[in-house]
Amino acid sequence: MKIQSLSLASVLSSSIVLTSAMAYSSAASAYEDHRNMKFTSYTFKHSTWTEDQYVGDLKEVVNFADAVAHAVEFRTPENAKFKLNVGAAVRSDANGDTELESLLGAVEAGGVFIRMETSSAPGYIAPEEGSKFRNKYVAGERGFTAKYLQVNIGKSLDHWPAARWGLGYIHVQQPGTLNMYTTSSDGGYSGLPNYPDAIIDPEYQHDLLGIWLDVDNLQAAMHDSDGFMLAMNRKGGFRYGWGLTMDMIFGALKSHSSQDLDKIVKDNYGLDLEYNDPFGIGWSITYRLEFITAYRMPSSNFGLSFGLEGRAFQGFYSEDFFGTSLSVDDGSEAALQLGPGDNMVFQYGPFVRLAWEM
Amino acid sequence: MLKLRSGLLLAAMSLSLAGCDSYPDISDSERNQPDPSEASNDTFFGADDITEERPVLATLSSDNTIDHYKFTIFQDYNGPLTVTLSGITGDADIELYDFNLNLVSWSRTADTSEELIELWHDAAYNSDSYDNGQYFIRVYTRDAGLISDYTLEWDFDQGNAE
Repeated sequence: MKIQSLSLASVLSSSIVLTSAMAYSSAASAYEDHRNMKFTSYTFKHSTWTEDQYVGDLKEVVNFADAVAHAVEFRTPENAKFKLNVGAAVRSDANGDTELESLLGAVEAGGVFIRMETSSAPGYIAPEEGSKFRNKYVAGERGFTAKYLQVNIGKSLDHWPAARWGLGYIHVQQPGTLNMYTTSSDGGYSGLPNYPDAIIDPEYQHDLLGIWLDVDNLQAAMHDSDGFMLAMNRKGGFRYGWGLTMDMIFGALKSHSSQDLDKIVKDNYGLDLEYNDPFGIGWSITYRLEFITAYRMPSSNFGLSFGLEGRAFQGFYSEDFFGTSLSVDDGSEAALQLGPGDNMVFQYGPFVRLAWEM
Repeated sequence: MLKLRSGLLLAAMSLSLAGCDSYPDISDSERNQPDPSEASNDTFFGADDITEERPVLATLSSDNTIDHYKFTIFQDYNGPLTVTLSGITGDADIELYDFNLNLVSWSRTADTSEELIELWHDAAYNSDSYDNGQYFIRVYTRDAGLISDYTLEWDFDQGNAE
């Protein structure tokens, strides 16, 4: 049986047809019910935190040590009354340092699923050239901790056990660029500090609250369940094919600075600040485009996948749609505005994942 | 991946409503430059000038735990730059900042030991966007109850200039 991956619609419809057929044949097969099996996986990947994820001004000044990560995850059987899902990733960087990069914990009881994932990495802001920044002021310490926290509350879909949906919350702390406007931004003038083009907050904050949906294709493929954009071939006990594992949140986004911007602008430049914490709509898409191989045995299933994984955390602020109320009315004022596009998360990197159910 | 980012940004831009200005309105001023208010030397903006020839003698106290100074190296020379805080009667420290107010170097020795900053001044960064030969010094104490006299001076050694 082979399914051609031509489009989202065809793949989705094909996978539903395939998995429906598989579910039927599975019921009549000698395979042990996967819902009684424990699931364990190991993933080797590039660290999710790299300077490559930034664009614009931030790409020139944000630095992380190059690193790889080892992640382990364990899930109790789906038939258990109290389901537990725990995971952790350890990062080893180019400096020889090893530290915890992320933690994952989830429980499901009474049909309600609660999941929390945290991730962090130390980074630093460094001049783009030599020892001096060019028209940029770095607020606070140049060393920073980038953080990512995601909390999901929801439930599995009745006819699609590999998928879950509900409410999602994400908190991100990472460098942000605030563009600075004055009556003249063409540098400073004699005897006074420079009026920079941008103020960099090394630990700018974003909060996203919205609807959440996620699907895990590897586990689904290992026991012939439905996946998301999952097109599997079968040959005896072998399964192989492409899948797109996704975790999506779409909702309201609010961002704010970790610094006292009013005081910075007054003390540094003698100006009164015009600034509003931006808000709008945002979304996070965590993706894993993977080639999956799986092998089914009577009482156990094994899977191996590799591909590209990453995360896009983006948003549009109300100012992008409806304009801004900020203004610099005279020479005594300055305005700061978050630079859209430069301040979001774009993590990506290769991975290899090994999993087994037994 | 870059194409994906560009595509998403272009999509966002195309969604923006026509006629809405997403950037702040900037009013023209007569001088066409910022016109800041007066400030004390508790702030960078109110930093006092300090010359190479005349050291500063001042005092930190519970009412004044921080002072700022500024100086400029006008010559287009490279050379060693030193900043010294001496005659300290309490635990005071110094930090050196560049034209953009980013921290360049510091000395935070404990107790009443002399504080010394040494660095190489690179004239290659003498431009309006990088440095302009201008530096700022912050003298401060973390002990608000402390009273400390101090002598602050700086020196640029043109003898080693290139």
